[in-house]
Amino acid sequence: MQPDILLVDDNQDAAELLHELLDMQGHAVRVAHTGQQALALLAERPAHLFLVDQNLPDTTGSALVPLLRVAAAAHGVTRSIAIAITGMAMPGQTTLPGFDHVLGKPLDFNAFDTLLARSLARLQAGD
Amino acid sequence: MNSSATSVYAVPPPSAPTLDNCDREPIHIPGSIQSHGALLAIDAARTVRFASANTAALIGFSTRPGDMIDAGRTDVDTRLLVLVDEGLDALAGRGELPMPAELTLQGRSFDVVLHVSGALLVVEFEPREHSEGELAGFAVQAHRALEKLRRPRAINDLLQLATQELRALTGFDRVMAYRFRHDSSGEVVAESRNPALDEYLGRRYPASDIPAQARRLYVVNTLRLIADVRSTPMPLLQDSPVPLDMTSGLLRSVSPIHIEYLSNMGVGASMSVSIVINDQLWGMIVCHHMAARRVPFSVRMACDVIAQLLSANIYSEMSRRLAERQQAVGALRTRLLASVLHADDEFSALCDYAAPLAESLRCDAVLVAEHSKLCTHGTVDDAASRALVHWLATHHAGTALFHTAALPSLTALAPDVATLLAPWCGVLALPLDRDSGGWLVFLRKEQIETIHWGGKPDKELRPGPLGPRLTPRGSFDLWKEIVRGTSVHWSTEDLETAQQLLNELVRTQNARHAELNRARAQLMAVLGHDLRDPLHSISMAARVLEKSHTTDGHAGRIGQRIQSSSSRMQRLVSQVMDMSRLQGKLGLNLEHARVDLVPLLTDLIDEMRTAHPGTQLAQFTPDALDAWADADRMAQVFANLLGNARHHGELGVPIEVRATSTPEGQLIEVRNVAAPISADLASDLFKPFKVSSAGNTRNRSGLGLGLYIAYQIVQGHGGQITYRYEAPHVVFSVHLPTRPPEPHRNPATHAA
Repeated sequence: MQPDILLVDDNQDAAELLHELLDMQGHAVRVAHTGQQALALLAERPAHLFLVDQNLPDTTGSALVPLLRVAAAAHGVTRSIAIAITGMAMPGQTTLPGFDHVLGKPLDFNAFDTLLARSLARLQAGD
Repeated sequence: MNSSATSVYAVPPPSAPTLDNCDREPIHIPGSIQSHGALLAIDAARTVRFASANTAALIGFSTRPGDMIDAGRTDVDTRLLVLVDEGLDALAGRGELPMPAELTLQGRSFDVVLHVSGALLVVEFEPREHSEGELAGFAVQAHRALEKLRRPRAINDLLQLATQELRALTGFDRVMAYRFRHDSSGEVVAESRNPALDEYLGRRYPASDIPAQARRLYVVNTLRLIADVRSTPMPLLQDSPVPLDMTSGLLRSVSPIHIEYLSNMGVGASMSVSIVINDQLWGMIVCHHMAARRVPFSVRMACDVIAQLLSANIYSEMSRRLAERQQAVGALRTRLLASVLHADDEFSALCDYAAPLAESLRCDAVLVAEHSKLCTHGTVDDAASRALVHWLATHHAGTALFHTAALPSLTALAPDVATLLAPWCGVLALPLDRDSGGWLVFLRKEQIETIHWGGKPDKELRPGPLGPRLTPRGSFDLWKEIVRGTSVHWSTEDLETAQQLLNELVRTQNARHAELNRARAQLMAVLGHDLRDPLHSISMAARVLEKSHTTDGHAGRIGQRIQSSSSRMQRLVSQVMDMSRLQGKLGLNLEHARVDLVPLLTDLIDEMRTAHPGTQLAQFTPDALDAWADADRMAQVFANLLGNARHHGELGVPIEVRATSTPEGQLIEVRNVAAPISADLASDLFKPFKVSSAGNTRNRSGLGLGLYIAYQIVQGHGGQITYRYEAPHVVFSVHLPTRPPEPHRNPATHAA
């Protein structure tokens, strides 16, 4: 099956553009601008890959990701991957609580494409 | 001398004291008493250990060391035995010492006064020459004096009144009040005298007139009578070589030096009462009589009480004035600090307050300096002010106050400054901030002062009664000295006021700096997040444009352009953030670990080959080169050097990257063929915001921060980055030590 991607970013331009980019590559992507919206979307249907901005209007990415995983698990999705996309990371910072991976803003597309491909492959293999 | 208990010692001959050693003369153990009284010192077993040689003649029973004083002595008055019993009880820690008593011995009336010295009870006998009726009269007079002195008055008025009252009470020819100055010299500030005598009011006496050990005795034993300067001291008989400590005695004989001093002054008797404030000898009331004069014990006690009241009154007057000043200064400080804290600039806030500050420190001029800015209050010359501030900044390190009342006396240190600054001699300087050259300086003008010395205050070598030596001066005639090059002395209060002001200004400054740092952190957050967010969107849009199947190749190329511009912008944002951290003294958060530099360099070279296929790179590196370094930060350094080489190097000639191990550590070089960097540019290479960067047509995007940050990173590793020209190569070398100093240095200590 094709893994579902949930993108959470309050920067509407960035979210829309990344949505379009992923869309062009044929991925199934939904977009939320707040933590509440993200959880509401997951309540409808689970997702496997989370791309989450660390700074959100109603919460932080680190606090939201565990809730997203619980919401996904409620639909039987036990394996998920969370990637932070943050403007706050210090140079060289590779970890943030809750996340599996950290990428800085603006996105380094080579790194992003590689990580995305690897993550999706692992999710599919895990299924 | 032997120490057997039965032998009786003569007085230990005083080792001839001279003025030179009179600071060390043991005046509390003279081994003799003034001859008008008698003394016994008795131990706990009732054995006499010291007795003046005149007991038989004066008090009617002969007593020598070794004798017992007990009920078996039929020659001793029973009332005296009772007094001794009580005294010995007190010596043993049972009860208080008996009060001074009147005893009649051999038909003469005596004041008998007991005190304890070490393990001995000392009994002193002083004959009374006045009737009970006369003494009662004195008591009434003393009471009146106390009543008058109880009322608050200005300090010198109090002292004047005290001299009048004491003269009336004691009948001395002259009663003077001395006040000690900051240099311990004494000045006569009040006087009552027999009109036939010269006036001593206003005379100054040098500190050496009262040696240190005498000052100590004056604090412990506040009243001292020398009844007859010309009498021969009465020796003490003793049976041990250890002398009797007479610090607290009434009858202690007088140092030969002091006798000579008084004789030179023509004085026959003297009495002094100490004015002790906070355990310090603040002043004295000194009474002189041309003939011998005994003052009854009870009258002396009254004088002592008067002096204590006087001390208390002076103290409260001083406290009141100090409190008034502190309150005024405190109110000024509060207003000043509030305006410093809220002003845009501390310098102008301080300048606004120059006049009241000058007033609060009793100055005529104030300088405020910061960097090259200077403002002055008062008629002080600008060039002189700048010279003074420059001298202070170069000669007085640290955060302590600097003060002198006699700048010209420092001529050896600051010849030009003193000359320029004349007539300003008093300097009190507060180092506000050494980094910014911030100083607050108070100035006082030269005060040409005529000192009326009581005799030329030099020691002379003359034949004295004890042979040729330095003697007290023979003449106490007025000797005028004109003192120049000195301002009014900075008092302890002045210095405390200045210190407090400095402390609070520094605290306020720190608060301001903390606020600036908060603002800087805020700016970093703006750069770090708020600016990266739109950059992220732009870069995303470019990517969509580039990848979009619906657009033609032209739009794709535009997408690439936007993409490369936004990544350059992102690098600049990172540089500005690094810069901000460095200038905010936050450091670069280097995280050292063992790193192999070769793969790190190889990756960077590969990246550059991919990104810029036209650039040729030649790599000369060993298989491995371990270093103790922050890998990401070192990659930033090498990427910067490679980028510079690509920008400035001759096209078509390879950029060389060399790395080797040296005995000191690791050496990495980036070389490109180019013209040498001109000398004036080369000297500024590692400074931020170089003017040269702005004019460089091949590096339009640079702020010139790259090399500055690279320099700071390498320095943070304890290493060095240097430029040299080796025709035809421009060579940048990075030296890393085998291991940086631990803990690693703050790389931000280099001021921009």
